Amino acid sequence: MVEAAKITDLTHDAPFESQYEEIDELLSKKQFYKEGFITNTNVETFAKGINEDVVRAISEKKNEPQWMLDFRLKALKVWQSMEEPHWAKAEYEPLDYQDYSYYSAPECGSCAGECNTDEAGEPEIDPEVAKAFAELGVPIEGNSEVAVDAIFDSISVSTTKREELAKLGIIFCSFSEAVQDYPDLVQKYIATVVPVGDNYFAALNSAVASDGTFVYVPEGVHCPIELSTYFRINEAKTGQFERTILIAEKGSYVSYLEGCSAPVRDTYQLHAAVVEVIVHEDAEVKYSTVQNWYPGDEDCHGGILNFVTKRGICEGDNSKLSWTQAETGSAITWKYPSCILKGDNSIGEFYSVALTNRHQQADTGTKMIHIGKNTKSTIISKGLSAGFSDNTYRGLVKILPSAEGARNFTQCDSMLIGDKCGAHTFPYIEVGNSSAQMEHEATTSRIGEDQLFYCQQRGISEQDAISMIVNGFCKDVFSELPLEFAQEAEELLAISLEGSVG
Amino acid sequence: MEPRKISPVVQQAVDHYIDQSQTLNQHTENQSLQSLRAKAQMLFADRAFPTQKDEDWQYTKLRSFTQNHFKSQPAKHLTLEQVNQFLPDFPVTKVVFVDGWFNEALSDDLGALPKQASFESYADVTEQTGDFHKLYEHEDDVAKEPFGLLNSCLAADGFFFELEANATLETPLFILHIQTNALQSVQVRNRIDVDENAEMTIVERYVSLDPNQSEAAFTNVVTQIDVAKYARVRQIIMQEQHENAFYFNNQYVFQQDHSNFITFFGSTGSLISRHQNHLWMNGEHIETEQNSACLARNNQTVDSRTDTQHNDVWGLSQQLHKYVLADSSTGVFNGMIRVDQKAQKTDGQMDNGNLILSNKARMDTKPQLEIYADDVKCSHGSATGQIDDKQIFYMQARGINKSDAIRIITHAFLLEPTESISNDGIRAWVVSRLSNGLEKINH
Repeated sequence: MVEAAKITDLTHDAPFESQYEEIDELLSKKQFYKEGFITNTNVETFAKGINEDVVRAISEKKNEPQWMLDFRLKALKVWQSMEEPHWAKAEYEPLDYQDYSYYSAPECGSCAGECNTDEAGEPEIDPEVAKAFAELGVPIEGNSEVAVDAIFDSISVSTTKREELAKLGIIFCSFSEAVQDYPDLVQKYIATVVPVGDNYFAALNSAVASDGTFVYVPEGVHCPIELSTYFRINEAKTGQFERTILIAEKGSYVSYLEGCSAPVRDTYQLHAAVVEVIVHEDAEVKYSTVQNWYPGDEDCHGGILNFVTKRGICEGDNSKLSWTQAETGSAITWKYPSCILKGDNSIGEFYSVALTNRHQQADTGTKMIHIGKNTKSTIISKGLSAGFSDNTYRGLVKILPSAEGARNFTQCDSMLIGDKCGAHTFPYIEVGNSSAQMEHEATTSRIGEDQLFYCQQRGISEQDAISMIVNGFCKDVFSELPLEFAQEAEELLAISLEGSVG
Repeated sequence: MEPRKISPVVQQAVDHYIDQSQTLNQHTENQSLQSLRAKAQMLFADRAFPTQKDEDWQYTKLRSFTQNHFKSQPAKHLTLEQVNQFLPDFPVTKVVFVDGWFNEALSDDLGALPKQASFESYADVTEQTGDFHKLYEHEDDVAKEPFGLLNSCLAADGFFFELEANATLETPLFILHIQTNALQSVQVRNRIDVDENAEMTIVERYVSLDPNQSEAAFTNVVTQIDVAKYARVRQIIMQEQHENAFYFNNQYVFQQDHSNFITFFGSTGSLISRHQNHLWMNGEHIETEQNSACLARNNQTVDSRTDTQHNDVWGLSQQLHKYVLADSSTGVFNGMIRVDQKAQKTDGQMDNGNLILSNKARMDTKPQLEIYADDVKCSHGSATGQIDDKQIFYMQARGINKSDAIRIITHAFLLEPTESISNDGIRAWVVSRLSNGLEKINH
């Protein structure tokens, strides 16, 4: 296809507008979502619909204690009293929540509570599921440098390196297990950062939370390896509602990564996650995401609706929380990883690359709430829009009167590739302290003809040149990602952009 | 959507203004105008006043406003001397409004304007059924703004000014609004047409006769400005009402090919001051500048908003908005640059700087970009902070005492937007007005 495009280039003296015609042509033919295969295995899936019985059934399936069921039921009530929000700059039909299934699990692994992992060792993993993860390159056998929690639809199928981590006192397990094994910790922290009624999707998540990861790093421990979670939605018409809690005690450090993908389906799939991060005194948490949910077909039908609430609190003094994200998938992304900077001298960071192509819509950004003295935050957001997509940065920097000497720096850069897409910036800045200092800047640009010409003149193909320029544009963010992830993100970017340039 | 809940206080205010609008309708014979107001009344009854839950009003609190019931009262009699104290020190053609009513006797002889210029009062325009639409051309857009809609209900005076093609108005048109009555409701509807290749300067000033008045007053203005091809318009607005007054102004500016429009808003007065520019750049090679210098102290809220729509190629828009906030004041800036898919080669720059002098003051800012064209240069910047100690130290090291140093830095900071005013006389006058406001601030 690329060859063909080049030939047309030579045969007629194309004005530069035609560059985009080629893009469109390529876009319409290229299918570049490589994780779109479907795994066929025996699964247990609940009938569609949501009501009190379904919530009770989920809880029972997971063999949950009473307090967790009460938590879910309360959340369901709250959710039922709320309205679906539509303020984001993304257009979608109101969802029919009764048309989704709220629980789905491979049969053999669906015993999170019943199998006693301590005695029987790791439960057997469904070979089909194992194959799927192998194909995705997720090391669920525990033979890599990274500890992995692999989540398939509603349940966690495997968590590696647990014993090694346990020696250091680090708890790394699925959320369902944590509810069983560490109820005190879960009860202490759940919904403290993201209250049940925080927003519509957080409430829904609290009611039907499927699985997620639970990480607890004890005082003074520097987690020696990267912890990671891989989410896979497989079943059609199911929603995934992961709930992740990460706690870093005083003086600890942890770097956590998450990745995700889903097969090609023809109906919208819902992903409404809640992530809560609690960072105590002198601790540091690095949270990186490479989001590659299925974006849907040409018109983004059937893609994942990614409505996520991620929030962390820098509870103690001198704590640090850093969010890094590379967003390339999903039909609609609605995601604002936030930091509540409560401890004095705490630091919040947000580094983001969001790429939208075809009809994808992304409304993403962050919130930095400065409460403590001398708190600092940095926001670097790079938005790339191609095709017919809309890419929005929406962020809030709020400096409360108590945040003496607070400091914020925000930079939002957008790049447009093609003339049918949109790039938008909606920052909210609220300053309530005179000693605070905040700066915000935003720019919009495109890949210059002269930049391309310069590269091509030196023998670099147009495709490579664009990829080089785009990577340069995103470098500030990629340099924040852990090494393997940085590479993956760069490759993803190249794949997602493939065909979007002549 | 379920009907919004309206508090009893707000409901009373709404009923009060609808009553007023109905009374107004009884005194006009123009049926089209009557039905226009009736339609506005219906919309207003339905929407009432915005609350902090409305996205565009979350930072501008209207509680202190809705507690008052402002009335439309006849103007007080003023002497020429009382009026002339508000005149600037450069030559102008003055048009005087007292309490929202056009006063022909106190204004300059408008018949003496160059023959290419024409001035008609609201009454003149609305007497003719066919003509009144000139003042109500973009009702759908006006109705989107709560105070624009209220103005449609209540407007009872204003003017229509037209400058013919190729004419240049040498002397600036000076529109002076003097507020005298307590609890006065001033509702003004204006339109200014500047035809092809014509050029003019408009200076508007909003003042109170008694700067220490303790009773509230309410000024609500809607102005449409049409800038035709190659026309050049300069506009300066100084808002200096007493500190218990309310000021709302919605300007709708329509620009055509190669036109040039520069507007400056200076604000030192009023308890709540909200100035909004709605700008449509509907042609090629349009140049626009929107600047503001806002100063607030005590419990004042100053809110300046721009909505700039780039709808065609080669547009250039520039903005600089500066705020100085003392005591418990609140500053709000909201800017939107929207670039249509058609508007390639757009250059849109928006800059906002805020200086907070007190720990109780707050600044809320929202500089936005919405871009649908790829070959554009757009940027916005916003910075908020206090005076850098190093700057003060630098000046002290040169023998300037601390309070003078702070004053000098604050002055320099606030006055930067005035540099875009090309006429020396006007700039000096604006600087002196803003300096006067700065003198009142406790450092």
